[in-house]
Amino acid sequence: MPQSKWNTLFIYGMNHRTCEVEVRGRFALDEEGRRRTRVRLLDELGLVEDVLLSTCNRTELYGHWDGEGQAPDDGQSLRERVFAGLDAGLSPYLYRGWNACFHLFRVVAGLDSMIVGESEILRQVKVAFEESLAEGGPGRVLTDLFRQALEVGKKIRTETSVASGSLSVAATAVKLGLKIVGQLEGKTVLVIGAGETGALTARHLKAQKPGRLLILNRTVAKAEALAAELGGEAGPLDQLRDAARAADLIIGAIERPEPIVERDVLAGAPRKTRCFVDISVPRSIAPEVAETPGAFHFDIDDLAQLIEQARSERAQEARKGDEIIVSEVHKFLAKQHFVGLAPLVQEMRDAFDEVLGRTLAEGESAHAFRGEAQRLAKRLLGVSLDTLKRSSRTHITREQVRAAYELFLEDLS
Amino acid sequence: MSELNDSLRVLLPMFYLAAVFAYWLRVEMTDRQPKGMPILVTAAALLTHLLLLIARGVMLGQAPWTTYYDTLSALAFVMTVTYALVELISRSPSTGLDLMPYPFLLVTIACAFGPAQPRPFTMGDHRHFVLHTVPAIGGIAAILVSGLYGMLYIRLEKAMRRKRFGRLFARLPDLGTLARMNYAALIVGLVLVTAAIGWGAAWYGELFRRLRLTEPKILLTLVVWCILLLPIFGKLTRRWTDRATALTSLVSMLLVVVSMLVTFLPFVSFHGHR
Repeated sequence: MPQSKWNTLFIYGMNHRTCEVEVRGRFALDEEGRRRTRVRLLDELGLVEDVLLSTCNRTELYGHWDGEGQAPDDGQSLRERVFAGLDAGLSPYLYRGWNACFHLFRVVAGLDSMIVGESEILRQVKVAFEESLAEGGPGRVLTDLFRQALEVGKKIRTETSVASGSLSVAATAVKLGLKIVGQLEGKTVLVIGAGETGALTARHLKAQKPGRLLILNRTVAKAEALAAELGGEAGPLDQLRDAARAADLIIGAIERPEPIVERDVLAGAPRKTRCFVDISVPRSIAPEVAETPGAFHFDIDDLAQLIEQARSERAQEARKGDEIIVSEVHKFLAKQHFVGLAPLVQEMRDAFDEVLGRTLAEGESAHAFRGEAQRLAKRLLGVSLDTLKRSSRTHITREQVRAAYELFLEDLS
Repeated sequence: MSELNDSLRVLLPMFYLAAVFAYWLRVEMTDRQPKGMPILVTAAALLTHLLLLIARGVMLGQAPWTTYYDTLSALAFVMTVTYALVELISRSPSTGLDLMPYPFLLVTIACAFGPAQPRPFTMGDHRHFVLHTVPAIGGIAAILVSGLYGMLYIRLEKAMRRKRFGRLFARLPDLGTLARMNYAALIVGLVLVTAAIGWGAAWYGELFRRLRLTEPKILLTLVVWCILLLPIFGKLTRRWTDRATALTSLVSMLLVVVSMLVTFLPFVSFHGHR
């Protein structure tokens, strides 16, 4: 089965691997921008179907044309039309046919993302597809392709651990804390610092439903605003000693030249398991606090170790995702092949009806056998359709798709 | 009944081995094995074990733990029930691989070296026998389970203090959960051992006039009972860490194992089922 048959389907775009952030930033479109660009391209390129995906890390045009006349992805036309005015630092890619399917399925599964397995892309693709669909962008082929891609995205996240493990410092700090103190219900957690990282950490902690969430900061107003948003308690840094002694999990996210939590902070405090996680650079918590019985201390280097571990686990899981992609692209191609046989099926149906009508007209007791003959014709047609469906599945083998996918991955790397 | 007994004695270690293997598979091939498989195999082992206990009890006409080896078998049964309950409540099969080898070991010893046919015990019909031995076996099983969770706590804590976030870190539940399991089993052990001591004392009073504290089983049990009280006082006074509780349960477990071993030695203890 030549892949060229599918070349009416293509993807043209750029992403974090092919362009610098400044270039990507110039083409990250809002909803209205996406709509205008999509309508313009549909017209200028002579496409019958299109979807435009534009996020901070990628801008991609998914197109399908009817195969008549000049191919829209020929020569310079796409570059000039899609990325008009952008030349410097632009290295777009173009995938046709099967490769376009592989690419979209990888994008939706998060395998093509900057952070492998991230889930935001699934939502972004869904939104892009729905926006385009509302304006009649995608037709039968792209609708089938995107619907299946969205299913594949969910399937890969469910059946593999590609999205497991945290890759952000704040989430990893909370995860590490949970590994020490267990569930946070009924427990007290303390966040030192209400800056960007502190706020993100506090939000991750809030999701674990702690008994008390304390936020201490130099600027109390900032801590109060965050505490009000998250239903916590705020205070100045001079409450640190009492707060640390009451807390089970303490996360330091504040910029200070010297540690603000000193080694004797727990002197005389009741003994219990306490976890200090320091995500500040330079340190905000003295590592010697771990000398107190029941206390643990971790810093940013420990978190880096965990993040790297999660990253490599995700990469391993991505390989399992590849197998699912091969299987799903095979299914998609088989379905499209069968759908392509629609005129033939209609021809068969008409021929059956014609033969049936002629036979019944010639017979003497036509009326008595009409129902029986119609049932027989319907059954024979059903058998023929099943045969066609089976042949569609074997028309392109999974091995062929796998081989093509391996070549595609080789090109990517 | 005798044939059933013989068949089950052969099958039982295999079922326990299958359960250990299922937990091993769960750890090694998480995504290729149905999630509920280990607990199903464990349930099958428990059912087989229950049938064996019933068969031996019916043959004997006494509680089916009248020999040293049958006591080990009963102990393995209670440990497995305890673990199965922990797994069902916590919905975490991650400690199965660490706990199930011990019941497997006990069952294998009991089935391989124990008498094929159950032997009656001279005191087996006494009214105090079941009242004393049921809480005693339950208490010992709980102390063993507590000790094993204590051991896991200490291993994980050590790994985390050394900043080693390897397989143990990924597989075991958090330290807080291990500490809770450790402490809960310890409390259950303390309650049951207290009951066993109470019934044992009543029974002892009927049999002997003078208390012999040199009897190693009694002595060690009283020591264990005192040790088990420590974490409770420690927690009440807030001067006790989870690590200290884990160490206490580990020491208790070791003393319980020693106390079981001494009953195996002839002429040392009257607890030897003779």
